[in-house]
Amino acid sequence: MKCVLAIVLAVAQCNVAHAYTLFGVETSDGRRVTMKWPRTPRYFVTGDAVGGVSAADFQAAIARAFARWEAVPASTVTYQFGGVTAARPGDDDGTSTLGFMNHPELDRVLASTSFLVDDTTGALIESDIFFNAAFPWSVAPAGEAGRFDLESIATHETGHFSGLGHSALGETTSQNGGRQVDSAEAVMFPIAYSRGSIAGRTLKADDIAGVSDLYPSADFAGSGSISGRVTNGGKPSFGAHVVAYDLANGAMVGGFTLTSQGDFAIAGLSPGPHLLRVEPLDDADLESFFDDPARVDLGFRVTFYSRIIVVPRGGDSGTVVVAVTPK
Amino acid sequence: MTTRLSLIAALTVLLAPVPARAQAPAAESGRFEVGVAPIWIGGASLGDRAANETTRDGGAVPLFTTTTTLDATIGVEFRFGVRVTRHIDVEAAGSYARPPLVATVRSDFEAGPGPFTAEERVRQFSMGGTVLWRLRALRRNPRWTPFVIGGVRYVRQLHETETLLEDGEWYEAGGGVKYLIRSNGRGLMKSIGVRGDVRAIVRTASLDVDGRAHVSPAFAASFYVRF
Repeated sequence: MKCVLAIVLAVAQCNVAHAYTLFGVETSDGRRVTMKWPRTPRYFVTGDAVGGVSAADFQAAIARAFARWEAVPASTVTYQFGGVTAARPGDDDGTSTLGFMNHPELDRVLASTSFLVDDTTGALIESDIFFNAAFPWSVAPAGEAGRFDLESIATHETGHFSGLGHSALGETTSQNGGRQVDSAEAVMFPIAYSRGSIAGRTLKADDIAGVSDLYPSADFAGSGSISGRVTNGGKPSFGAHVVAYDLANGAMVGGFTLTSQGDFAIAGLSPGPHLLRVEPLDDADLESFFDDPARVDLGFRVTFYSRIIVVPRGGDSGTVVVAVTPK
Repeated sequence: MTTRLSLIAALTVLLAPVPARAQAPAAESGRFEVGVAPIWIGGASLGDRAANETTRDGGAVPLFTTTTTLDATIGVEFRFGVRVTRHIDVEAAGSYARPPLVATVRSDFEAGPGPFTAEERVRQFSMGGTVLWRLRALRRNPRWTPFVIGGVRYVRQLHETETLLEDGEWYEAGGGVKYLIRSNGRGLMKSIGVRGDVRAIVRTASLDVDGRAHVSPAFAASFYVRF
């Protein structure tokens, strides 16, 4: 049995947080499995062009975006270019198709990724990405004022294509009814940098940990993890954003408490001492992260765990219980 | 330091089975020396970091900043020395201490200026060799012998959860004074005395967050026996 899951967005808005997430699929027998490609995915591109981006430009930018994920040493993920297709993104035809589509009614959606998943195993069957031709695009190497950088947005969407969800590592401010990114530390942050920026082309520690966790190479065995639980007033906290900060290199990798017991796990960390910072997603677009935003605990302050957590090489820290301070 | 050394010397004299005054204030006799000492190792900054996020133009803005320190601690030090010449002893030395590793967070974008702290205890072992050079020319009293020392040690730091080791070197240099309580030149224990020294310890590699060498002061006061 198969089902279609639609996910996405890289909107001109934002939120706050830090964390990579993996897409989970509930199987027909009630199990929760991680959505990923069982083998190297083959992707096709449409031959469409938009102002400032030819079909060849589009194909090259997409290839560069995929190459960034392939270059992660601790991950085995690879992609194969299949050619140009007449199919459209969103067609459930077993072919992963990437291309421009004009959706002026989606005035906050730059691009969107959808999936066809085997819901007995979580195996990805198809993943399509459309880029909204209603926005101005650019493939200029240094970016172009007034236009969104196709390669940056493609890097984000190809992260989804690979099975990654949104990260919450970023800061935003409200602007014109939407949100503008002031800073972010993950390509998978749900809101894009503003026009002209090419900062979204570079994978960050959070992105690297996420794709490595999903498709681990032998190098990944040298990393470690932190797991534990967050409580608020003695009760489990769901949806708390937990960030592991590496004292040696300043890298941040995040996760969320994703069970009713308030459990979290953050993998792909460099061995060594880390700080844990727990924050509520109090100014985030909760729908970008959770199916059921009403469950998310927002009633606490940013809390630093009082102990330094040492990440072992190839192992887990052991259960860490963080009691956050209620608001 | 003088006061502390005097107190230690006085205590040792009281406990010594033979009054020091009854012994000839001759030079230290005995080729081998064994000593044990409490050692105070001063704190060292291990570096500052910022939890940076990337701005739209590729710049960096800190979400918060951290300062990491290995705080001062008192441990124990063991030494075994061999007299090589009238002036020089070669010593094997080891120590054990449990310094606190402390991270201080400041200027969190959302939580405020702080500071917020997190810490753990590190088990720190060192093992290595030192050279002690007696400055006999500076002696004003035959019981007191000033000296300088220098050496290198292997240092191993084990985090609190005992799941991760950090290895590195520790270089030390300093000076001090030995006070001879008793020396009879006969029997098994040929000399008994106390010793105090001040050192600068330079740690490289091992536990750090900035990849630099870090300097700590250290002070040790020991009781020693020569055979």
